[in-house]
Amino acid sequence: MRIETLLFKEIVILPELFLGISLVYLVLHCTFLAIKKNYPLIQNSVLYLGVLVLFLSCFLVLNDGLDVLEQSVLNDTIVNDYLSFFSKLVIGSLSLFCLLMIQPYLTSQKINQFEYILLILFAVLGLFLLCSSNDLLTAYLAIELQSLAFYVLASFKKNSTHSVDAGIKYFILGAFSSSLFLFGSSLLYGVTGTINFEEFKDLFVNVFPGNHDVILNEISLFDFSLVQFGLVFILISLLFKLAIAPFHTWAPDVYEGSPSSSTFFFSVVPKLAIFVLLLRIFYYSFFGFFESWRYFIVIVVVLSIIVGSFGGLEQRKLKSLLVYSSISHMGYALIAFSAGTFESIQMLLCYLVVYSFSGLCVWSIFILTRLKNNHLQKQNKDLTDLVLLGKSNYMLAIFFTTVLFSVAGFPPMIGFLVKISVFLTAIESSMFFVVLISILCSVVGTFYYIRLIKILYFEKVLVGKLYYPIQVQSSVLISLLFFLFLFLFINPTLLYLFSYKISLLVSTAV
Amino acid sequence: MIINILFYLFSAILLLSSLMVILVQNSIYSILFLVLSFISSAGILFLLKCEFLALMFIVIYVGAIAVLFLFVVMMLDLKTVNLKKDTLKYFPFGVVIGGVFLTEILMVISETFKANPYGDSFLYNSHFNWYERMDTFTEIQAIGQVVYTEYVLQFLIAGNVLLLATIAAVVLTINTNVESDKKQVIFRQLSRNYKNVLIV
Amino acid sequence: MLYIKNILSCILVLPLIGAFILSFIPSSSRSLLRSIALNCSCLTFVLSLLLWVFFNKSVGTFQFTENFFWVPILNLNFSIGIDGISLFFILLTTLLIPICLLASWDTIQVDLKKYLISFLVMEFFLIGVFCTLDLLFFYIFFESVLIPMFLIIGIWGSRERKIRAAYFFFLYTLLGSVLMLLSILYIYYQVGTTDYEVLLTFSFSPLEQKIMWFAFFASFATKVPMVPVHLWLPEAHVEAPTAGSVILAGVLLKLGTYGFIRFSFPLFPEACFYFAPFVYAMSVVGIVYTSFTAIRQSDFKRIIAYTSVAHMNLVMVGLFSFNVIGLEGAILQSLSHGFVASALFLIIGVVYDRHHTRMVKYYGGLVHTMPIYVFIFLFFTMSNIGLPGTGSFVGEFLILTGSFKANTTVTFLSATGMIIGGCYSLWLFNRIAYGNLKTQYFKNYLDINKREFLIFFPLLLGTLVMGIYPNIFLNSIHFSTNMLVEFMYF
Repeated sequence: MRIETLLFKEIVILPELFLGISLVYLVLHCTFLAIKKNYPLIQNSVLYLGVLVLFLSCFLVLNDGLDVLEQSVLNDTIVNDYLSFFSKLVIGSLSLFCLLMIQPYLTSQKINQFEYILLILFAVLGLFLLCSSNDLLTAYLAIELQSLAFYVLASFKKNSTHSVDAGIKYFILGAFSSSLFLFGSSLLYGVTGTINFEEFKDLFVNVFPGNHDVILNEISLFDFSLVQFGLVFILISLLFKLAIAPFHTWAPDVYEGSPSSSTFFFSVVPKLAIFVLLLRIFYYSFFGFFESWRYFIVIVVVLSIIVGSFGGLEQRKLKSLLVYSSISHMGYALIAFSAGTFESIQMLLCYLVVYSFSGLCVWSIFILTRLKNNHLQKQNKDLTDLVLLGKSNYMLAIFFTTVLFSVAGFPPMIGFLVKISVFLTAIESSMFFVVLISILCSVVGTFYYIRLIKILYFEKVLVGKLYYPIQVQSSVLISLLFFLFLFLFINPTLLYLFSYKISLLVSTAV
Repeated sequence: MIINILFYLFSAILLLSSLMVILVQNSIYSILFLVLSFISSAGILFLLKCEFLALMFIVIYVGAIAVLFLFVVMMLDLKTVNLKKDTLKYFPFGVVIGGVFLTEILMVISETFKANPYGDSFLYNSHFNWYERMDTFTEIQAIGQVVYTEYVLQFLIAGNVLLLATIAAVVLTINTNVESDKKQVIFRQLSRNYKNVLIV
Repeated sequence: MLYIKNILSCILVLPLIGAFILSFIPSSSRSLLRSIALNCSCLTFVLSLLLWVFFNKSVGTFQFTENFFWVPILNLNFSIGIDGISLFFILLTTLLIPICLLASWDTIQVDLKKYLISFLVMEFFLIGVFCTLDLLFFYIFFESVLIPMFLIIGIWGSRERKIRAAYFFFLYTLLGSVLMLLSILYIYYQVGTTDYEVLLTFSFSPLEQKIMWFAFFASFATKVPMVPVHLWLPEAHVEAPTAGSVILAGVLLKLGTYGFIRFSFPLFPEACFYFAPFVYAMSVVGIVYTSFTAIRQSDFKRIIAYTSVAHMNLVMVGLFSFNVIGLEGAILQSLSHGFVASALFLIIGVVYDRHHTRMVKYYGGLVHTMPIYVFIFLFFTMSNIGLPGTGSFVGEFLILTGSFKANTTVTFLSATGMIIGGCYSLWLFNRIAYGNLKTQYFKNYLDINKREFLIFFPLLLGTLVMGIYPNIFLNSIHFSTNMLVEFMYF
């Protein structure tokens, strides 16, 4: 599957270069097109152009596939190993699906400015760079690129106070967490003199978990507490970005207020990239300091799962419900992150891929259903708007039910499999109490998923809400997703194989 | 010696002026204190032998950003609010948290950067390579030699961030409907009196 | 004679194929839908009879075994096979599903296609539970049964409290089962695989056994159901449609006891011995308490629901007596309870179809107008009490004999509880069948038609055969139970 003429082995960042240059071209193209004809609606064509660009960059990522295990260029600041390859592919394909799904939404909500697509592409560029970054500076710049695009995406609807409100909240909190990241990385630079992940790994090679002599010894040559201090800042800033309790308070407001297509993007795509960065920093470079932040992450995990399960019980709006479910899911992913074994990295990646995929399915259903008698002119769905979807759109309701059972982690679906994998790694590291609490809270969380199914099928009202029919192309995509979803349970081997290979690479220190 | 005094002076001015930015009532005063803090941080940078960076601070921060703030404050008809309303309620809590934080970071920094324990021992082999210590580069040349060769991708990404910021600013403020734009009324703007700006 | 090597996987997959075919047929052609579903489930039943015919009664190991690869990296594979104990549960399932489909022939008006598909999918999951030889897949199928049952109770149940009942059912069972999930993960971590035959060769330390036994118990106890966690049962039975109650009482309650026999006993024998007094106490409380409660009920279905609880607790007493007689009695009592309770729910369903109420006070003197119905009702009431000549008597007798060896007090108390069972059953029958016709409530009475008679006939025959000549069934179970008891004491 390799096209030899497109192979530039020396330029490892060819996909990002392509994406960046085509973005610049697109900006110019759209601006001139818009100005010349007095601001026409070029939204659709820009969307398809964006899809084309994304598809080609994914193709370039695939094409540049790896002959060697790891390749680092540009003064060791960019690395192209299996982890970046895999995550770039996943993020690229997810964004591709996102773009295709939000097209009817953009038309119906009259989001007419063409920059929407460009901002999404900028965010994807930032995520690509984040996945393959090998030092703190590149990571910070990539985070900034992605976050800035997201801030504007959140506040895109200028005449709605909810949207602008969400954008401001997101901006302030995102800037705050980026500044924490910068502070942490400056401390790390101050202590070690380098910002490269490889060099961190080499510097701390005699520090490993359990080696208390080096860390706590009074007469040691080097006191590591400032390194731990800096690491805490970086950790907290990344947890802020993932919306994990107790740093989750911005998430419901921001997700509720932004236009649904932006929320779609926020909750599906960036989590994988931020986890990649977390993996690189905390498992690759600084694995020796594992013991110092492990208990902290366990507390955060338990809090997230409790908040996510109990917070979602009170919600009456669909978007807030999905936000709380994503908070609890990030908690489960962090269980695997805090276990510290080789399998835990593997299961973490599997969990994230399945989470992103099922998030994609749920949100596409959410976006594609548009109320017909929208005399209240509201843009977000309450729970009761889904009533009797089982009667009006039969197959969509079945799809929704299936995906909901997978999100809840209920047996015959792939969500169950990855959830028990995560718990398996926790049991392997003897974190029994955490697993017990989290599994009990997951039962509590199952309640609001079942409530959604109840609303879909069981309600006693005679007439449900009417929806516009879904376009052909979107329904083809959704059916494709459904079949892929069912297939994943029958044969999840590919997923496990890929994640195994990746965890072999990342865990040089484990 | 004198460098130490200058360092303490600039740091004190920096801390005080950044505190005053958030404590004064008048917006113009707070922006001017912000400018003062920028200038004092530029002074600190001068002391650290980064003259290029210090001048960049002044050019960009003071010359572009603070001027932009001043323009915005000038155009908006701001009424000052009573900032002191809730200060007393949150003051002790903030002091405690900030004090804890400050103590922690001071302790950690003092532990980490101890003086070299081997510096005075006679077994310490200190060999100075004076040729390496000769400094013929100016700072600008040093920055240029690194940024444009080793960190060129980061430079390009930073450029991309600026592009994105431009696009974002345009997106958020453009109004394609030309007739309903708000315009400045020059008469009203010029007839503003400083006396009816503050509402005490 | 024909001998198909993969007959078990055929039986497993056939309902799924039926559901798949059904999904392509438009929902307006009701008769075609119903006939395809009925044909598919009857074919499954015939194939499972073939399983019984070709079953080798002189061997105690697993027969008709097959192995499929699922995720070879994690050493998770799917293997199926049956032995004497699971054979009859599979037969019970495949017998009850066509009966359920027949019972809901005319009563389901809306969404017939979804109904039939849910039943067929549930049949797939149930057969999967009983024939899987892998702990993780047991759990997967065990939990997956909840999904179609939840939909059936919620969509086609009677209108008053069905949503609440559906929630109760789902969340109670789920809460118990998650603890079992943790134990399964721990077992997988220790042993490296979840294959049943490998697990049998592994032994855990006593402390691990006790904790894991308790986790498994939490899950199975809600399914049995034992007393503190039995609250979902009356709700779910009352609100479910007739066929849903039949399958719930007939098969789903047996999942708990099957789980005990299959997993708790061989894997954690020391813990079973340790906790036996605890289980005895809870079962006896269950029998006596629910029997007394059943006397006070005014809803027809609720009385039968409470008798189900009492009978299943008796099965638990028999199980934990740890000798062959008690164990075989428990299995036989499970089977006969499957027949009897299903028949009783069908009886209620017959009358509910005609008059749409379940309150006992509206019925009286039915013998005057529905004699055949009352005959069937009398027969099943008698088997509910445990009259000699019906399968329940054999089961109860064997259970009480077996537990007499273990603990005489428990036997005495549970036998007393069974006598109370006679009290409410006879009273119920008396009120409904004899006396005067209550014409101020109902004007028209109609006796049972041919379809309904055909529903009752296999259950009648089964109970009678089980009561008169139980050796037909016990022949196949002997070896497996003997091996099990030997294994436990080893």
